[in-house]
Formats: sequence, structure tokens, C-alpha cells
Amino acid sequence: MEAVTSTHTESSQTLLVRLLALYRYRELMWMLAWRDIRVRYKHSLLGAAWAVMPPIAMMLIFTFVFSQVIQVDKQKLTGDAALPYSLFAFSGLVPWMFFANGLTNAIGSLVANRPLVTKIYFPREVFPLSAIIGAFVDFLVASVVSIALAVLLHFLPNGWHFHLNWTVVFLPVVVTVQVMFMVGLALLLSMANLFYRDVGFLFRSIIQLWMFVTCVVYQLEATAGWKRVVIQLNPMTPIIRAYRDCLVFGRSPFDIAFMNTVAVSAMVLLVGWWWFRRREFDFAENI
Amino acid sequence: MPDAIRVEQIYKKFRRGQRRGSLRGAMSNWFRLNSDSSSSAKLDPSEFWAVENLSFHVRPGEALGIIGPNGAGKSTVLKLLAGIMRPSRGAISLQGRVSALIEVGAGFHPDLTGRENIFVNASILGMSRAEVRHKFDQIVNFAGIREFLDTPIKRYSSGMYARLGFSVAAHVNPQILLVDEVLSVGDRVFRERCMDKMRSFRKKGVAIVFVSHDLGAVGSFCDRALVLSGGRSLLLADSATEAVAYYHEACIDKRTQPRQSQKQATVERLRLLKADGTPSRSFTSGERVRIEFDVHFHTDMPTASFGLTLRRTSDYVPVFETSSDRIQNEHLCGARGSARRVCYQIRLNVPPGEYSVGYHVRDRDAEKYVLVRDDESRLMVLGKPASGGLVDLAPSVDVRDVSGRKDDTERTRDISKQSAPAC
Repeated sequence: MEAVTSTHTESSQTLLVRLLALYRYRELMWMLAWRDIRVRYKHSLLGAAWAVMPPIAMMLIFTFVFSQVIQVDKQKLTGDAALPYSLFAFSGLVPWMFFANGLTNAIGSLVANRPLVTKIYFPREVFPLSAIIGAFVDFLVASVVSIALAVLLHFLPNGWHFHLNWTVVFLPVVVTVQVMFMVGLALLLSMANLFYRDVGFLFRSIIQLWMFVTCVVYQLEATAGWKRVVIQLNPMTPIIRAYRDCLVFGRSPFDIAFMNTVAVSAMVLLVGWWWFRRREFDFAENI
Repeated sequence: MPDAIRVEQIYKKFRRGQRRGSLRGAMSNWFRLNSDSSSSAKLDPSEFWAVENLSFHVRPGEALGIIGPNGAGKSTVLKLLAGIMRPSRGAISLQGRVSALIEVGAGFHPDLTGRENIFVNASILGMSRAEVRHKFDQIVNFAGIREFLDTPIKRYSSGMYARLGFSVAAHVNPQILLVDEVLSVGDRVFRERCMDKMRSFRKKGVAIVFVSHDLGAVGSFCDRALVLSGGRSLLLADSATEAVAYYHEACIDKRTQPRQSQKQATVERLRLLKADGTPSRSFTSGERVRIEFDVHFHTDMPTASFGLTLRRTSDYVPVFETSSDRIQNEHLCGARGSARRVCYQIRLNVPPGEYSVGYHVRDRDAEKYVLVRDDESRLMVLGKPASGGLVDLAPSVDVRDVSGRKDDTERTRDISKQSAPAC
């Protein structure tokens, strides 16, 4: 049994102390994530297979649109005419779905757990974090499928062969930056949604639009003018590009734009966390 | 030994009605970051003190009861202790792992099975997975749901749900336990088991804060008690029974009784007399007692009746209640300025112990109690403690050897079968 001394009026713990407190609750985070995953797939026949359905469906749709409905120059669309578009789209859609689903779940997480927020105390960061963990598990499953897709395309007679590049070692860094950005946003938005439910409704519309101002289904070089500037300023663009650079193109993902995203992510995380902790004790009254 | 809980002059401010008005107001509120206004000593017209200047300490192994009418601030105090809310002013410090039984089955998901929910709920309450695995059988046995372990709990009865919830919570090893009116669910047998569990916690040195409307439970379980009303402490008594008695006097009676200025009747000279007329405070079990009091009427009361109440002081359970209209089936007329002497005769068929004597004056036409006094006098009942419970049913017992007499045992079995549904 651990001895815990707590003084509720003690205003600010340092972030490090708080991080240690969160570490003590890691099992709870997993448990809540596990509960959500379990409940999500419990009443479905295909179970966890549904985790990979949305990116596959999206991939098929965009492949059909860009190759059958309208003929787009593949060199311009993906930057590599030999690369199958399906793989290009999938490598962007999987991390994007992680981003979109993780945030959508996280934003409602405090409100969805109202009985816990009003009745039991533990660090409230646990709720958005466990929502992101839940989406991360889906992301891992979908990643396995993308490997299967790459292998499949490798053996199909389409003139493209898969090469595993050494740049794959940068992948954990890219995932970490994405998670940092997501956690920061999740803390801010889940808290905002607790006070004003408008945030959740608004986000559901914005996330649809956001996908198209991120280079998920086309490359940045396919755009021009002010639209390209907007897309470049979006912190998600360098992240999605970095995934492709590491995995598909074998390039180092660390350019100026990516470093910029790292800085933005770190800032969003710190601000989000700091703000979240300041308002934490108002949650129970306002939820 | 240091206090497990120290509460020093805490205040908690609440807002009436909805906070949000215009979008602009909302924005400025939002950007204020840490709602400065909540810590200031002044009250906005829309605000009120849910808890005002409250201080108390609880030592390890001690149980503090908190009683008070609805809206007195009891649950708010528990939430402040649990860390869900922060006091507007003042300090709370806690030594040790806190477990709050504010809601049973927190985080239970109806689609998950009992087994799955045990793990989720336990980790919410702060247990590690290894700890749960270790105590899993104890938890299941205590809840008594072994055969439904792999059933989704949406199919559980509400009693099973509550038992499982309490069972998990009871196996957390807290140093501070906060209990809020959760024992009212579940049947009597389970309630007793819960109380036993809490007693064993206390013996192990756990500091307990117990909020309940069950005054009997507070009176018998707690070492000390706090009476709250309107967010303020009315009394912090060193004996829970004293607090329970005070609460009866101060809060419950107030609702049925008009204010001092408009008293319609007063009672004087309450006397307890033996059968021969000598005043006394102690009697033997089964003895006849005369209880007399004089009622002075300050208004005309055409249909008055006079009641008598006897309560066991240990837990304030009413042992006996009666009133003159129930005995005589007629009402008495009290004219303004007149007085009447009420003289009750009762036989004390109660087990030995201390009892409090109360009376009331009721105006039937106005359908209200004009005067209620619950703990006006005390009497002791002496005698051999041959019986317990509320009443002395004058027991006699006969124990016989029936080994080898088959027909007799058969008959007993028949009887027990017949009477089984009545239990």
C-alpha cells in the first residue's frame, strides 16, 4: 500500500510530478481503453476487423475516383508514377484515421464518463488519453494490413516492387510527434467540449474538411498558390508526409516543415496540459 | 498519531442556475482561466455557500458520521474530501490512500460481464491488476454472484449490481474511506455484511467518513458525528448518539414545529412516576410507569390530542408511539388560557437500557403538530438482560432431547417448509 499525502489546495504541481502521478494510473488508462475497444466490437460479428474497414473503404473510393472516374496524372498526384495509388492513399489514410478517430473519441470522453468525473477522483487526463490509446490499437491493426497490402502489390505483375528502406527507423519519431499533437489537442478540446458542447459538433464538421487540407490522398506538390500555403501551414501535412517518406519513398522525413510541426505539437501539448490542469477542479460542477 | 483527515475552515461556493448567458460572457469567462471569483470571500447575488467555515479532523481508526437534512452540504463535503472539487477557501489535507464509496459500480459498463467489470471498476478505484487477481475470489464470494460472472451485467438485478459494486470497493485497501449513502441498496443481510466490513476497516486503522440518513446506523457505528445544516456545522459531537439526538431536536422537529413566537401550546412539568406515585428515573423491565405532563393552551384548539414517544437512546429507534386520540378515539377541546394534565400509564415491556421520552401536541383540524419534543427526559430500564431487540416479549424456553424420535423431526421439517416463504 502506498502512502499518499495530498493537499487539495496545493495549487500547482510541476509537470514532472504530474507525469509521475499519471504513470501511477497507467493501468487505469489501459483498462478504460480496453473497455472502450471491447464494448465497441462486442456486438459485431466481424469484431476487430472493423478497425481496418474505414481506411480500406476510403482507399478503394479514392483509388476508384482518381483512376476510373477522372484520369489524373499519377506523376503529379503522388510524385511517383510507378507507385500504386492504393498504397499511396493507404499510407496516408491509416495515420489520418488514427488522428481523426482518436480526437473524435477523446473530445467526448469527459462528457461520456460523467458519472466518473463527478463521483471519483483520478487525474482527468486519463479520459482523453485512454480514448487515444483506443484509437492507437486500431491504428496498429490497420498498420499490419498496410504491410499486407504492400506485400500483395509486390507480387502482383504491376511493375512495382517493395523496398524496405533504412529510413523506417524514423517511424517511431513520427508516431511520437503525432501523438504529442493529438494529446495536446485532445486535452484542449475535451475540456472545451465539457463546458460548451458546441465544440464537439463543430469538430465533427471540421475534421472532414481538415482531411482535404492535409496531403492524405494527394501530394503537396499537386497543389499550387495560396492553397498550397494553407496546406503547408497545417501541422498535420508534414506528419502524413513523414510517414510516406519513411515507408514508401525512403527519404529522411526531417525537413523544415516537419521541425515546425514538432515545435507546434510541443507547444500545443504544453499549453493544453497546463490549461487542462488549471480547470480540472471545475469539471465536476460544470459537466 | 497524526490525523488522517484535516479540514481547516473550508468554504465552497456554488452558483444558482445556469452559468452561460451571452456568447461574449462565455468567452470572457473561459479566458479568465481559473475562475478567480470562486476564491473570493464575497458572494455574487447568484452565488451561495454550499459549505461555510467547516473544520474537522479524523484520526486513523476513527469513524466520523455526517448527518443533516437534504441540501445540507453533506455530499459536497465528501466530494471536496475525495478531491473531485476544490474548496473555494480553506485547506484539506489527507494522509493515505483514499477510497470513495460515493457511487457503487463506478464505470460499470452494462455490456461487459461481471468478471470484466470487476477489473475495470477495481482499477478505477485504484487497485492494480495484480491486486485484483489476488483478491478476485474474495470479491466474487462477498458479492455472491459466482454463477453470473460471465453474464453481461445489464442482465443483473439491481441488488446484484449493487452487491458487486460494493464488493469491489470493499476490497480496495484504503487508509481513508468515504461512504455516501450507498448501503441503502441491497437487502438487509447484505447491509449487515457491509457494516461488518466497515467495522473491520475501522479496526485496521482506516479513517472513515460516513454520510447517511440512517441515523440508527450513524449512531451505532460512528465514534463522532457532525451535524450539518445549510452548509454550516451545527454541532461536532464527541459521541455520535449525542449528535443524532441533537439533530432530531434541531432539524427534524423544526419542520413540524412553529417558531417560538407563535407557540400555540406549551408543555410543563414532565414527570416520570412509579406505580406508587414516587418520582423516579430508573425502573425494572416490565414495571408500570406513569408519565405526566401539563399542557397550556395559548390558542383555542377544538381537536387536540397528546402523544407519547419512547426511543432507544443508543440509536434513536422509536420503540413505542401512541397518542390520546388513538387510545380514546376522541379529541379533546383546549380553550385558550386553559391547561390540561396528561397522564399516561405504560408497562415497560422493553429490554434493559436507556430510553428517551418525548411527547407531542397535535391539532387535528389544522392537521399539524403544534409541539414536538423528542428527547425531553430519559429513563433507565434495569433488569437481567435476558432479551435484546426492541421489545420484551416475555420469553420462556424449553429445550428437549429429541434424538431418535423420527416423527417429531419430520413434523418440524414440515412446519419449517410452510413458514419458509414468510421469511
